[in-house]
Amino acid sequence: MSTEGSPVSKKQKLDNVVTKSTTGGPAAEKLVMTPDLTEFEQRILSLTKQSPKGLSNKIIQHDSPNVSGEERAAAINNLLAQGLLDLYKQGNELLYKLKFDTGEPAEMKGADQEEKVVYDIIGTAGNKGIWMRDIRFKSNLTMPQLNKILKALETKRLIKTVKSVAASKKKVYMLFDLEPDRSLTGGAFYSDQDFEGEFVAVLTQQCLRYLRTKRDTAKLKKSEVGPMAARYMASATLQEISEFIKNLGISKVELSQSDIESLLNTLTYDDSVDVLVKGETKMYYSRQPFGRVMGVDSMPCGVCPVFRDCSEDGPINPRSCVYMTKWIENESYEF
Amino acid sequence: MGTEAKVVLGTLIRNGEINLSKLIFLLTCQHFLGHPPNAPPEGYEVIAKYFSTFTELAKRKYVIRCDHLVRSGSTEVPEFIPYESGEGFIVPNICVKTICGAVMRKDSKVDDISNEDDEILWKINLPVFDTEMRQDLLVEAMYWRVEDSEATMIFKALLQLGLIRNSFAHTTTPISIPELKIAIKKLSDSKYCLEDFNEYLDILANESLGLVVKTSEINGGLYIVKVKEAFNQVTYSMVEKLVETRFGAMAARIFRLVRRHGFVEQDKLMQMGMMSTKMGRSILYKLVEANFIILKEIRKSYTISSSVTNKVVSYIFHIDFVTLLRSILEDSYQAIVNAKLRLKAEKHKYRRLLVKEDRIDKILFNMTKARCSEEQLDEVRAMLTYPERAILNKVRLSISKLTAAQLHADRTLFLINTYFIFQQS
Repeated sequence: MSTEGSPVSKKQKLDNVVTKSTTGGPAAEKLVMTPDLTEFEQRILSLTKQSPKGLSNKIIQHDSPNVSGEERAAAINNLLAQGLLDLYKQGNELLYKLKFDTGEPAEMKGADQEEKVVYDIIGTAGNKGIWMRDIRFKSNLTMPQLNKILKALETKRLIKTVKSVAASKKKVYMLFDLEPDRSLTGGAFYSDQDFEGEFVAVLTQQCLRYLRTKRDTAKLKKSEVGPMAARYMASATLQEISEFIKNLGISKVELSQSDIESLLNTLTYDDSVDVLVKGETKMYYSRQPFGRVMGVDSMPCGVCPVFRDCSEDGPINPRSCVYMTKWIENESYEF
Repeated sequence: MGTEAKVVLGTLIRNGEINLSKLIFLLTCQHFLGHPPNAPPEGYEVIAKYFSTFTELAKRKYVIRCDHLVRSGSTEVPEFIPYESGEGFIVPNICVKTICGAVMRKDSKVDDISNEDDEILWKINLPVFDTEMRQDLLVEAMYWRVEDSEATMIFKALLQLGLIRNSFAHTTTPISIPELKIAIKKLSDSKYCLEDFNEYLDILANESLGLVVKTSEINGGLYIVKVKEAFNQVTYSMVEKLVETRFGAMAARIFRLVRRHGFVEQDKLMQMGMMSTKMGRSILYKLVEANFIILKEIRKSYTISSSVTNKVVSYIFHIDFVTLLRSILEDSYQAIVNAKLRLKAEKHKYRRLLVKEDRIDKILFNMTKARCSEEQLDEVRAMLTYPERAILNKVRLSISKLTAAQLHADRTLFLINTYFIFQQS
């Protein structure tokens, strides 16, 4: 324990730094246990404890005027290197704060300052990850340095790279134990960065089949229950549809309700399904589009890929058109 | 209204403008197929039938008097002046005896018929047919939507009652429930049971498109139909069906997404449409190439530092619906022309067989009238061989298909033109 105004001529070794919590003082502060602190270094630590908003050089100088600038700098550097203090800048002034135990992994204990800085930057990005360019901006390290540090951290299994489905060439870094966010992995419908189109199509078909079956059943009972009740019978809530898909067992991955909702949204975009609101419940029901008029698309010219090249006297003309011939003979026109 | 009404209208269309006496004469001759009746009462019966059919058509305003000629003086050019509102549908009297006499004389011609109604010419009242066709289009669309004939009948009654004053109104006049019930009884000849009337009305009013709206609680509720919005929806649906037939269901989904969201980026489209970027990109390219979707470039710049400014080009997609419709309109006209050319070519290719069949049919008809034996008729029928009959069946099928295709293309034209009329009014 340091006393105020004591000179730092002899280096006193301590076995432990005693926390305030053991003497009945305010709890919460838990310092990292480390040996070999000088008296002056201990004094600095206790001063930072008293100044939770940050301790400036002026206060240290004022408190220990006999300590030279060099000795002060050496003590502070030692404390920073040991991870006991954090350095901040407020305007033009440097401030020192006590560093709490962030629960850093054991592997980071022996790591150098730069690795710790990079690790902290990656940690703040959470499960969304951070791009290398952004790490470089925040850490102010050069590219070769940063590459070396990232490689070292990856080797120690402290961080990992994840590719984003949105940009397959973009790699983001995140802490090793974190589960990547859905915006990176794409969610249940992505497998190794690839969109599973067929899987989605099958699920969508099954949802539609379920709703159509409900509609057909409700139609048969309309005369018994009335049209409005039949309309509600024909519809299903998101939960019911999710339950149905789950019971089908066609999906190996667990599909959340928001996944099923996105499938149902595609069916509304296909104009096959509509939404009915009953109180606060949203229900889905199958229906036909409004106004499917038999139009020009019922003949080959309406959908012909070479329509613009067709003319009365040209090589492509209505009299000898093969699509027309096929259509007249077979009722189909495949191009 | 029956087959007689169809025959009356068909004859009137073929003759353009004709007075009633001549029309009845033509219809009666057609009825007896060149073999006049033996006694006047037969002729009177047929004439009376067609006259009452025509009167009913005039009452329902399907036929109308042509503008009448007004001569103001010997030197001045006479003018054609339309009839006042009610007068154009007044059916004049005809002389049944004169017409029957002309029918019974084998060598009578239509120009020989002369009556006091010589100067009263009649024509098809096209605006009424257009109104009916527009309403039928909406009623059919609503039937497919709600899949319920009772609800569709209510919708039809709302349209018919609400568009009496102005067939191009953007919304119908408000109709109360008692009025609706009376109209439905008339429409369905009192067969419709009004038990679940309120529920069907609620189904229509709660439809997601919001075409039937309850405007007030007076008299149990006043309901309107948003006619312009309904036609907009039918037109969108027609274009979406065209996209789906031409490019596939995924393309139709993309088209609907772009239409809903106005201006949208590719990534967002792929995300909402739940398709892979590769597939979505190729479909978008096809739609852009065919001018169904328009690609717009947006240049954005962002400053990294005082000396470095990066420019980013992003692309958004949108639909210029009016331009797209005009292009489909042009294509539909061209499609009709193509169908006509092909029809002409098919008929020309098999003209010999068609003429032969026509000749054989006339011979058979005359022989049947002359009460020839079945063996004689079979002998004539055998003049057309089995392979020739098969070819003729194919030709008839192609003719009917090409004719139907023209009607479908015409329907597209009708819908698009109606859309433009509503947009401009």
